[in-house]
Amino acid sequence: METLTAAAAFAAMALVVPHVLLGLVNKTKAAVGGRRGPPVLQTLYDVRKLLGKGAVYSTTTTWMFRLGPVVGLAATLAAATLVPLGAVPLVAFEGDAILFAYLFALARFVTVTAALDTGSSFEGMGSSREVAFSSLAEPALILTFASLAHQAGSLSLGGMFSPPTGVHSAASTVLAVGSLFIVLLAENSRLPVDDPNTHLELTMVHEVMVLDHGGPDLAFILHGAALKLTLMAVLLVRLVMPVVPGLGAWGTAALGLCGAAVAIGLVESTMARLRLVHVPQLLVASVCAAAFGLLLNLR
Amino acid sequence: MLTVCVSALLAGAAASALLGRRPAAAAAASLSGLALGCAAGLAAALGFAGPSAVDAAWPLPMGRLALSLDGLSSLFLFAVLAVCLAAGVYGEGYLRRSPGLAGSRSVRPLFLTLTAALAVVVCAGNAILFLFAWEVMALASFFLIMAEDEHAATRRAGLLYMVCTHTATLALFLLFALLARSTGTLDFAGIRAALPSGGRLPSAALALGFIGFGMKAGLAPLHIWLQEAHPAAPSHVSAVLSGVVIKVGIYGFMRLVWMLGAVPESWAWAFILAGAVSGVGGVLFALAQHDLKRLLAYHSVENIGIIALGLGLGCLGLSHRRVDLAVVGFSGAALHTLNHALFKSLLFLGSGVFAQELGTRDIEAGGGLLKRMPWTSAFSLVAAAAISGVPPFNGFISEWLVYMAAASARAPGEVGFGAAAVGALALIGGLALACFTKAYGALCLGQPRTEAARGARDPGPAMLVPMGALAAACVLIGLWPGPAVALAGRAAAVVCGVSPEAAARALAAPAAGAALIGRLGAGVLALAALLALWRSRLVVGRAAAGPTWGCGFPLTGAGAQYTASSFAQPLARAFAPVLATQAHAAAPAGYWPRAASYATHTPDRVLDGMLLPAGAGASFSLTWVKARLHSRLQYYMLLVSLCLLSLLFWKL
Repeated sequence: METLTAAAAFAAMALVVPHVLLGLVNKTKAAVGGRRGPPVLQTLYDVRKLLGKGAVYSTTTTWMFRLGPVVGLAATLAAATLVPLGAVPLVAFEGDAILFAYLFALARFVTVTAALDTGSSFEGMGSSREVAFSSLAEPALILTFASLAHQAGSLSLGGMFSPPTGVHSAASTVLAVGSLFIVLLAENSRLPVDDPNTHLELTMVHEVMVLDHGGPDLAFILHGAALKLTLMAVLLVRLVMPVVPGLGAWGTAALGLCGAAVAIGLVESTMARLRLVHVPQLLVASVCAAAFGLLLNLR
Repeated sequence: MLTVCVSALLAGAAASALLGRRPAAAAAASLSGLALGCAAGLAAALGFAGPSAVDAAWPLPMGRLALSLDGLSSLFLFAVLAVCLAAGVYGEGYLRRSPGLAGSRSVRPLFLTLTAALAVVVCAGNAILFLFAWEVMALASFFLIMAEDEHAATRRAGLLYMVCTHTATLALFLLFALLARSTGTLDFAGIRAALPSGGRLPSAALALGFIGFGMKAGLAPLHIWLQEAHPAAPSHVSAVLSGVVIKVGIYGFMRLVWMLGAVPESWAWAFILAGAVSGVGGVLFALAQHDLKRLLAYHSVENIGIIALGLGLGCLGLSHRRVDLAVVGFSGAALHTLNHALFKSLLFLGSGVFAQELGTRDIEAGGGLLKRMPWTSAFSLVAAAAISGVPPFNGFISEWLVYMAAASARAPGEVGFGAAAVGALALIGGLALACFTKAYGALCLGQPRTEAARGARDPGPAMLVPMGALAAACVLIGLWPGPAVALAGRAAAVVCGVSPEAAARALAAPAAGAALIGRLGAGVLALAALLALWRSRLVVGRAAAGPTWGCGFPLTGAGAQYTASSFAQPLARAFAPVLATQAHAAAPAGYWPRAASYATHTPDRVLDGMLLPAGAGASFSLTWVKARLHSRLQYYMLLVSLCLLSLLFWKL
């Protein structure tokens, strides 16, 4: 019975929750902007529509281009098995936090090589920015994990992100939350690092890498991106939210995810995109916050 | 079996030297010697051949012909012979295709001599034999680096290598003299048994070992010969240099730690610091290179840094008497040594083919090679992913083990080490991914940028099969890490001085985790295959071909592609104070500009930035003094009397 619940929860998290989360972010932005906004499940409808379309493959490309979307989505789904949504994750072992971070690196590796396979200078530009930013975001993420692992005495996501019993006030946790939030925004190409709604290729990071993908390939990429955002939001929620009495683990997770969506939407509504040369400064700040949090833990 | 291995290799070397005038016969002799020797040695290393120790008298003072195989030697012997076998088979095809080397009579015998010397170095049980084989190895690799000595850059690299390797040997002579003075023997086992514990001896020995072995391994700031020698050597020799010759330095460290038995805590710090500097510095300088083999050489510095982080954590475990930490740290270092030997030699073998086809080592001259050279590019992709440390390849497994060692340094007084190692590893991982997507993208993806790239073709199966075997090993260890982790665990058991069973117990949890990682990796591959199958069903009959979307911009030729330098620019800019890249720009001028150029050059910070200017300064000032001295007799006499006076005061 428990396995069945876990499998059902995993399927929901892998398939539907990511799109609800994105829909809530978009609803928040619309509300702040005084618009009504698209339906909550709009991105899911987009993905379904794309799955029904054909595809155009550039004559410059090879199998590398077609490898990107499928391996990227498969790696993100594998990362999802390590994340504790409501209760325990599907797969847990000591050290799975490192695997979680490196599975995203695998997704990045294939996305970047697929983009370079097109020979487009715009996609090269996006790839260059992507690897530059994430090579700074990765230390921030892993140092945050190290700090949490030191607190929890375990390097497994299930142990590190067990819900706090009360509202945490320890300075190191505050720093970890801040650092994790910046990494979440940077890794998922949200404002102030990248604008998901921009229409100018010269300013894009993630969107410009997938310009040539269409049809089912684009559907896999969009779904993978939504899932990645959800996974990191789940971790953030588990770090901040104590179990709300009366809601249980699942209700708390759902409430927390709604809160995370609103927070992301508010950041996007109130901030402008940073100049590209200033993005590394933001990321270095997040590395410093993570390192400082770790130092506080080492006392 | 060890005797068979070494004598077959040496017999092959002699036969190919004698048959030098007839290349076909020499090739056959060297290949059969290599195959027989490596088969015998690999069987011994994997334990299929029973115990195979050799112990004979040798007329050199304090010397004995002692060869033995324990867990540590087995791991390194396996890496040495596997890489040398692949590189040697590939080398035959490579020599035939290189105009400058096809008639060479010395490369084959020297290559086999190098292989034999490497095998003896990692199995030697006596310091005299060790140093003898070490010198044979150094000289054989010197002559191999100088194989194409008609180029000035090659001669410069050879000289630099000669100076560095002999500085290292000098430090090793001092090291073993020191150990012999306090123990009275030069047998490794005897030194280990008779070494007095405590005192200043371990620190002095480790300092000398740090210079001697660190110079060979390429640990920053002693790495100065790597980025010059690796590009100069023929590619199959570069593969052996980077894959195994520098690893002998790591073997030396581990054997020294085994002899000392205990390590002062300060040396754990030194290893972690040197590892972090090597790792981050190596990958940053690799990012700024355009020469493929120079880029790969800097990545060797980076990976030696990762290995040194593992060694440092292992030493920390030894000094704090934490067997679990020591075993996991040394296992991570040992496994990364093996993994790096596999994927880095594969990358160098691939780079040789690319350089032959393009006529240059400049990655900007490539482009679109995945279409034109599908096999070489696919094998190089496996190696590039493995060295970037992404799952499901072998590089991730060993980096993960080092992470696990860092995470288990939890007691007060240890966490600082662990945190430093974790931070360095995370930064190295992200930057390595950036560097290899840059190099691979510029070479193999997109459109060909030159005529040579347009006409590039895969070489024959004689060169492809060794590369394929190495690539298969990288995937196999990534998906099924159990046996490799166990091999590394046995090596770590020797270094820590515990029984293999105790080491296996300490390594049980990480080994189980590694097995799960392998299974998840296989799951990722299977899931990706299913998704690809589904996609092909979805788009059946509706997949069209067209040009790359140029965002409405009409100029989308090969020249408009992003170059490797542009790709690395954001990171090069962020780390500009470290790299000190020099730009040579000629901006377009006037209303109708004709020519404009922009080139960047990133010299080595230690060699070109410090040592060469310091040497030039010393030479200049001494020349000045010499010119003054010889001008008048009085100056000369003044100097003599000053010398005598100072000696007098010193003795008073």
